[in-house]
Amino acid sequence: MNLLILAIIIGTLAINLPYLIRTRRYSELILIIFFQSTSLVYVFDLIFKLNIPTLKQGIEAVFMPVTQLMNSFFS
Amino acid sequence: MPGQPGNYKISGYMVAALLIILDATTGILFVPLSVVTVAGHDGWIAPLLTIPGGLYVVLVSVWLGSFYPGKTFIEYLPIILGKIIGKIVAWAYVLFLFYVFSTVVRECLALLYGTGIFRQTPHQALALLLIIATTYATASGVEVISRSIWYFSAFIIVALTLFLLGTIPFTNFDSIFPIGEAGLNTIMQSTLTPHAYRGELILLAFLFPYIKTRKEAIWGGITANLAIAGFITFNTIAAIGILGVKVASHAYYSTFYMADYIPAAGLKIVLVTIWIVAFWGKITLGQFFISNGVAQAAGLKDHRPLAWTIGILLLVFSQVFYQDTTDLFHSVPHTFPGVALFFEYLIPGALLLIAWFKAKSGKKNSSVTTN
Repeated sequence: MNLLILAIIIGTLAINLPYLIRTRRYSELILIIFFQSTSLVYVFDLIFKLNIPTLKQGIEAVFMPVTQLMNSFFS
Repeated sequence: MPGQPGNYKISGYMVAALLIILDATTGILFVPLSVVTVAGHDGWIAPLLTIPGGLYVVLVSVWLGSFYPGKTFIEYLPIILGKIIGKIVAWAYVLFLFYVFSTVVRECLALLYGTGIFRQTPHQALALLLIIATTYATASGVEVISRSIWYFSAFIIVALTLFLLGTIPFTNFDSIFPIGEAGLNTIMQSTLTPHAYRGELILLAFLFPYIKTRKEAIWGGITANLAIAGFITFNTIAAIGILGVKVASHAYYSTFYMADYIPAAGLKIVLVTIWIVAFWGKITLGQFFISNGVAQAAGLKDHRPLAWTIGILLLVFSQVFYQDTTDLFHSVPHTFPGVALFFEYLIPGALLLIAWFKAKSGKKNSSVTTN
């Protein structure tokens, strides 16, 4: 299943690339490549269990203490 | 052009429907567990105490939008905060939306597997089908999204109301007495997670340029706030009255367990169908706001080329963010209130103050110049 998602990501990139290059929409092209590569990295993470840090871990590290502080304020 | 505020404008009724779907989809499902865990049989009070918070978010969103007509939240951030800080905050909001809606995709999957509707199908297969459907709507633009959710919301709201009315004969209302036994501090503590969910009404700021008038935006926002509070309160009372405090404080899907008590056949399937449609609506709106947000933060004219890419990223994030359902249900109540405090309450409030001072000083300067 993860390989299917991998194939879809590569397929989407392959479909988008020629169109975006032909129409010279370079800023969209850069953004699409950036987002596709990010999803590729995380699909590899899913398949090979690389344990690459995620946005969620960063958010947890910053905001879990904030939630704890809010909880302790009321208790 | 889809994604840009054009000729099509959303009415107040549609605003209310969009916001109810946006907030109540996950709120009704997951708030009862968190409030009953903290405040016991007084947990039903928390959604009502969240009404002022929701009202604050609605008014701040509309007021901010009124300062910069025709511009979305991401577009006027650089105007308020300056180009560099404005862009940084805009991208921070994009990340915030990625976090929220990846979590929503995972919550949808947790529901489908947790209620036992799906067992053998791989998570990713269901998520992929969902993302295909949401991407189709996202790429079609705000008109298609708002009209579709408007039609579906009638079915969802009527069915949910009928379900909640159907629980009345089986609810032991004595369970919620004595009222206030948990104490004010504990009840206030139980409002943290509902406040985080209700704060999602901040997405009204992203929707504002597409709404017909300011009055309709306020009307829609306030109606949604009250309706959401009503649904969640009634659902929590039913969960306490039917399942009891002990079960309700451990049941991830109390709404679905309550369906077992009502004799109507196939009720669980009806509820799951309602929630699949509601999740589709919520994720579509989220995907639209992210695609549009990325396009506007990066200065693109159109969000459509990004819709599928954003969809795939939501799918992938939903899989890698949470190891399993236990991780999801542990992480959200421990993280989301802190995130919400900043992104849904403090930052928009601060932005409004800055915008107000700027507008006031701008008027003063222009009057000095004319004099």
